[in-house]
Amino acid sequence: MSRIGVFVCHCGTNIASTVDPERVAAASRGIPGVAFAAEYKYMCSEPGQQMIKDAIREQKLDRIVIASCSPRMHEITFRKMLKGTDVNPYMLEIANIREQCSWVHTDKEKATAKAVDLVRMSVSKASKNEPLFTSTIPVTKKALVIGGGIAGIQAALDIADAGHEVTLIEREPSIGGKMAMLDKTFPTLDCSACISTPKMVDVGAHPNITLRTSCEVTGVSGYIGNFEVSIRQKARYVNHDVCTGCGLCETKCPVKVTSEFNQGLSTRPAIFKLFPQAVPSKPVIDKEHCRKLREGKCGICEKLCPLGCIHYEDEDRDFTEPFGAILIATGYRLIDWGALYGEYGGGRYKDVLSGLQFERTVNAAGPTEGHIVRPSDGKEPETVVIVKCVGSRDPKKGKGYCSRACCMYAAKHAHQILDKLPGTRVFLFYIDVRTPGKGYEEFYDQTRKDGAVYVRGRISKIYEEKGQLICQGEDTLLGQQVRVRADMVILETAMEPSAGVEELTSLLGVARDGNNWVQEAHPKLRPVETQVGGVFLAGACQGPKDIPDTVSQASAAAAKVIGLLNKSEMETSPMISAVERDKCSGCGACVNICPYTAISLQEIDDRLGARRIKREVASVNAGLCQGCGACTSACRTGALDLLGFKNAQILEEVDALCL
Amino acid sequence: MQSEKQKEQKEKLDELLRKADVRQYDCYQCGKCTGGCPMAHAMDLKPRGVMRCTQIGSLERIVKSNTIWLCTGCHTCVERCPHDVNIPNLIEEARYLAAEMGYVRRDSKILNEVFLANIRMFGRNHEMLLAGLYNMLSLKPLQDMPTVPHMLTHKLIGVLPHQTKNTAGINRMIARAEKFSSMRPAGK
Amino acid sequence: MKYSYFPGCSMESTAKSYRLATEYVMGRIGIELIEIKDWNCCGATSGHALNELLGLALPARSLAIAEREEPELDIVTGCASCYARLRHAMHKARTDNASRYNIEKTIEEPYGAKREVYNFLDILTSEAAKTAIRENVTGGLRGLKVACYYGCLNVRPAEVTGAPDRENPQAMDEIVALAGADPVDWAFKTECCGAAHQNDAASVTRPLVWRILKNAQANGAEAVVTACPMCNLNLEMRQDGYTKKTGGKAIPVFSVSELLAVAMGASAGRIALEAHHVPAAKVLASALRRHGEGFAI
Repeated sequence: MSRIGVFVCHCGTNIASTVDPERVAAASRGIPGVAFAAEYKYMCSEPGQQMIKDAIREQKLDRIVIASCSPRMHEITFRKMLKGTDVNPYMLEIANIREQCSWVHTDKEKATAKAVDLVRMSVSKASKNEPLFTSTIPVTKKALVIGGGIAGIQAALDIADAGHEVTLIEREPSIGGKMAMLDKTFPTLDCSACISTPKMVDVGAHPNITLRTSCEVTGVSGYIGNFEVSIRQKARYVNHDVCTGCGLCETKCPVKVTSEFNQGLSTRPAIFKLFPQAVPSKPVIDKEHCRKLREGKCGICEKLCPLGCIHYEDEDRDFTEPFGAILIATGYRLIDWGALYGEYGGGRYKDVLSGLQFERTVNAAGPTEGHIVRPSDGKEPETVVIVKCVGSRDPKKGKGYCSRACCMYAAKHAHQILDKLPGTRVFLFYIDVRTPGKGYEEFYDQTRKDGAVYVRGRISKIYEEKGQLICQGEDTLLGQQVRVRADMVILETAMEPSAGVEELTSLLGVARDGNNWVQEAHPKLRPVETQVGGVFLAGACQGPKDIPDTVSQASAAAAKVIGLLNKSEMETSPMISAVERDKCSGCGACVNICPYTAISLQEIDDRLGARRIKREVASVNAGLCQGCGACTSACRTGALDLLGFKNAQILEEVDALCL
Repeated sequence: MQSEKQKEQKEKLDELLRKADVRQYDCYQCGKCTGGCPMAHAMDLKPRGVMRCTQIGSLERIVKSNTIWLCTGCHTCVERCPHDVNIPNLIEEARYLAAEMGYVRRDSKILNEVFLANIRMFGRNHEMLLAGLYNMLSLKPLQDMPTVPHMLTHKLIGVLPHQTKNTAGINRMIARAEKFSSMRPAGK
Repeated sequence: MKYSYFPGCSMESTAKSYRLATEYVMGRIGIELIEIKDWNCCGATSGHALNELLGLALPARSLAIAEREEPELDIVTGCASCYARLRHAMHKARTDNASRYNIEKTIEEPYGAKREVYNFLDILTSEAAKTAIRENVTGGLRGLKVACYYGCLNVRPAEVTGAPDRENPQAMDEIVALAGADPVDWAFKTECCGAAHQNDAASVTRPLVWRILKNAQANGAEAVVTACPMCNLNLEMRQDGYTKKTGGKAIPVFSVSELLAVAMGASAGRIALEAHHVPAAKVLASALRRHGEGFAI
């Protein structure tokens, strides 16, 4: 007979207010196989754990049931605790009486009865538990960082500085991301380029970093410590090994393409560097627009290049590399406000800019060399209206969430206008002003002192009359409709996840939240990890973020990656599928159903009566199996069983409830 | 403690919101509704104010406002509302409630009565009769008078109205609508 | 193409030229309008002001007759207010069983809401109609700059009208362009003109009209084109104050049917253009003359 110990947690009042722990413990003592039962305020705390360890020693317990929160929360905590005792860590069962009981019920009598049932089920399962032992796998000591914005740059540098190899891939021809487009950063007004370009250069020069631009992930296989990642290097048509970045090729290109870096406010040639400080500082050809590649005519850049770097026959190349850890840092993009907001002109009015367009306008390296002028006629505006929450906090047309950074950069935009064009009238239309950050409220104060007029209310309509923009809204503090004649309007638009994040997360098996942001493993306790082992995240791919938060998160994620890569080998979960070869008919149903390609058919020698035969049976790769159990339900002969969740164990639980 | 009157107001307001399919907590007072409202300049309680009153429980200010009578039903507010708060529905329901409670704007009352009389007589709206009777009853006999000669010359308005033949059926329908309206559909 | 036709009260009186032009144009492009037998007022806008059920029953009675008499035909109307009331009744009958029960009890007749309710813009933008328009216009209105005014009720509320773009719709612009004229890009296509209160709150609805006209003219329009007799009348009749108080210039306002009729060669007299409060013939005549075409006024 097993000697099971039952430990019931109050979880403060989380459990105890709806479930009576003392009665659960008392009832547990009557369950066959239970040798000891106790309750305590916080089982996961140091005294709680000590209480369990003492009971194991004094009561000679061989199996443990803990009635507490979800196993997702503390199963690992208690397994670690058992490592120092005579009880195998897998002889543990958690009865979830919090998320699945106390939190969802109100009737204390019924909830307590249900908690007793849950404990009874766990005791039954525990009685069938067997000791399991972890094995180890080697770790590939190399990290992949996906996305070369400030998050990816910071993380790559931190990992590389710790002595590990990093490959940083970026789909654009240069790293730098959104931060490279900005003029100044709030609240300190440091020049964005001055603080980000040195980091970009560091990435390009770091001996531990392999920088791959114009690259995208096309496939991922493997598991924590041992990923195989397929990467596509898009054709650049320029040999970067030889190119010195002299820029001669760009000067005579006859094609003019709308500049994506300048947000449509200027043009660029078809052979181009994304921006002057690009890293790598070498051009690529945009095949969608290059005359030579489209029509076979032209070839001017080839003639101009003194080093013969231009290769029109260049093609996309695919390659595969092993990595031990993957970090997602794919960032954000701004919503396409024109398609959503007809009431703001739907993009018809030239002098209605997005915040990022204004950043390019006010940037000394931008199309107007930093002069704040209207795109329509090149004149300096006398009145500017800034509209916040365009697409944010708008579940009907845009996004339900707050984009977090806009309040601050709207204030920064107002400050920049008043600084460069003193005397300009600046009106900021807002719903709430949110400044939760160090020095942020002070910056907002300063912006008002600078002369910006904050108007509480959301603009309802923007229209044009005789070249004059008119912004119509309500001053909700006055309770009056207002119409402001403006020369320029800046819409502070919502952030949304970058294009392609759905495909990338699908390849990685990583979850997204309802708004398509990458889902962290736990919002408070595991904020830079995903629920897939070995895959981490940093920056705005997880949700709207400003630069300070992004950089902090990047360094945090880098620390996690370093922690993983510092190990030469790591433990694997023993809760994986196992095959009973005698029962396996070799039908292959499990091979098809396994989402991790962990099962294959293997030929074995066998006997049929007296005859020696060869036949195929299923074989599980312990490194790839994630213990999902899909194969066990597909197996017709019952040859497959998930260790730790064997059919017999689960049935024992069901019987405990139903019989 | 809430007084009996407060409780009654709250019940009426809850009923109003339920019928209008509007939840007061959906509104976060951004003012985009009022910003776009074509009649806001003339309203004593702006559309956002109507929602504010639902939040603080002031039914009386809503039913006594001129807003519910001046709203043109153009639906610009709900079209642009980030939370899809159906203010026109709320205003329409508030109008029915105001009528029950005896707060009907004088000009609207006259117009509605003249309109209904028109429909009872002809089944259709006889525009000159409507305008003429309304102007007299509302003591604005000169409103739009300058346009009358033009309309008569070009036979835009006639003395003999076009009409629905089955006016008896129309009158029966109006009587039934008035009778049934005390049993308004519950599943709004 | 055949439709059950709900003319609406204004078509029978103040919108004389709209009616004549509609008859002319529909005849030319082969759309047959079968007037709903013994139809009645749709109830706009007082019908639903005080009694919700009456507001539903009035339009539903005409719709029920249409479905009884011409069960295969969809219904069309040329008035935005009628369109809104008819569609509202249709939408209610389709989506709310209790309402439908009450409607049927009130109108003493079954109403299945099986047929669609369209406005003129819907039917004129069908592929067949567009082809027919293209074949019938002379092209003489080229260069005539007009502002297409849709009004509120042709597009809102979205769940009732199903209009894809409520801020900057394109259907009328498309038709006007087919007729050869030049629709201007302007911002007040769907702003309310306040026609609903032109009797009982005339003084406070005037600014609505003025703002619309001002934006049309500021964007270069020589005329405003409408798809509703109520809007049309309101935009015309309230111009006295516009010229006196705002200093704006008078601007002709006529329906899309009239523009099409003229584009197809109808004379001014044929469609009673002289009936407009703000003279409409001159601007059309001068546009035609620019291309050497005459226009009998």
